[in-house]
Amino acid sequence: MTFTTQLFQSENLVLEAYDPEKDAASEAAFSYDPNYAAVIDGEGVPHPLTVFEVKKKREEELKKGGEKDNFFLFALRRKSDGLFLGILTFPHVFWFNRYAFFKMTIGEAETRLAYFTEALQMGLRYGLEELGLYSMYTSTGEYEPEVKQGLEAAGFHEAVRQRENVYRDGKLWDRVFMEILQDEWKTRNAQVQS
Amino acid sequence: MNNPIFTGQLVRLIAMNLEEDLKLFEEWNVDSEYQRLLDAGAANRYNLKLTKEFFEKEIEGMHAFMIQKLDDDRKIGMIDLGGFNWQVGSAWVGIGIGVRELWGKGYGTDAMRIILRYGFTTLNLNRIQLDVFSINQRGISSYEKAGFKYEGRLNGNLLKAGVRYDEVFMGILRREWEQLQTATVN
Repeated sequence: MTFTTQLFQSENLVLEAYDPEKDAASEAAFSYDPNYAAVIDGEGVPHPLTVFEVKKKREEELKKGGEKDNFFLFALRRKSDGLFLGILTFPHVFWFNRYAFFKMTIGEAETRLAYFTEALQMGLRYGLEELGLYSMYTSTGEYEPEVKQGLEAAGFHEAVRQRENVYRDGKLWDRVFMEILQDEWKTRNAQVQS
Repeated sequence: MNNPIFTGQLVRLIAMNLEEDLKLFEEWNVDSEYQRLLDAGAANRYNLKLTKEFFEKEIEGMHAFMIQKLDDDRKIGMIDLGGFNWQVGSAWVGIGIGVRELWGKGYGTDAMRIILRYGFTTLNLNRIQLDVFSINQRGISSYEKAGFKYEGRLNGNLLKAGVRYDEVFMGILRREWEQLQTATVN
């Protein structure tokens, strides 16, 4: 890890400041997918959102986050054409304890397949190297198997399984918290480099 | 106030009286260990007026109760259901016994049993969950007695005095709670 590490650029992606004026419309379109809508609306019932709702929510978050310095939200864009792919967010960093929940979500299935791993690495770098977190975790479950598998492939392990705490496709699923520690990330990177 | 659903073997749950109860919260918060076991944030002293404003704003979305002893009507702690997810029928429960000399005497377990009954039979919940720090073994034992099952842990999420403790997650499903009632009756 050095200061020369580029946190906001990777081979195909860039992290930019979220812009409610232009990004809310894309997120509103993505919100027809309940797994994306749940990211915008937290614990609420996922449902398609209007551009107005997304814009209002994101503006409020950015304002509040700017005041408290514990909220981070990035727009994830494709480098080649600037296409908005989704978001990377740390909604609440617990500075006392140096851990955070984070969510990285890409709206379209096709771009998710192409860029999930690369975007996740950017999230890990930002959380564990720049924010200096001891650990970070996210939630997923068997209702989105490609996301869970992608997290496992990046070094996350299952930490918590809240039984029957998500409703998708007419049935109850477990909500799974996947966690990675900074030490695990460092060890993993050292192994890759050696 | 006399609804039997809110009455257990040792305590009853009663609605909050903000004028009286926030003063009790202030007394209990002097004990920093109480605060440290209750919340992941930094223990603090809270301005009474601001606390009142917080509760006045938030109380409609909470199901918050004071825990009152049956034998002498003393209020000894608080318990609340919050963070409702009505799509799946789940909620978080939080509990604190503020009077230190009454820790470990079964009052918290009794209060938890009451709120589980309320959550499953009145609010139609399917699951109730909580988180607790690994240092709080007394709390974990109490939750197990009330029927909660271990659902996992986030490693080292609580940092106090340079030592990391795990955040332990527990949950109970309505069918598990119903089985416990049958087992108790038989």
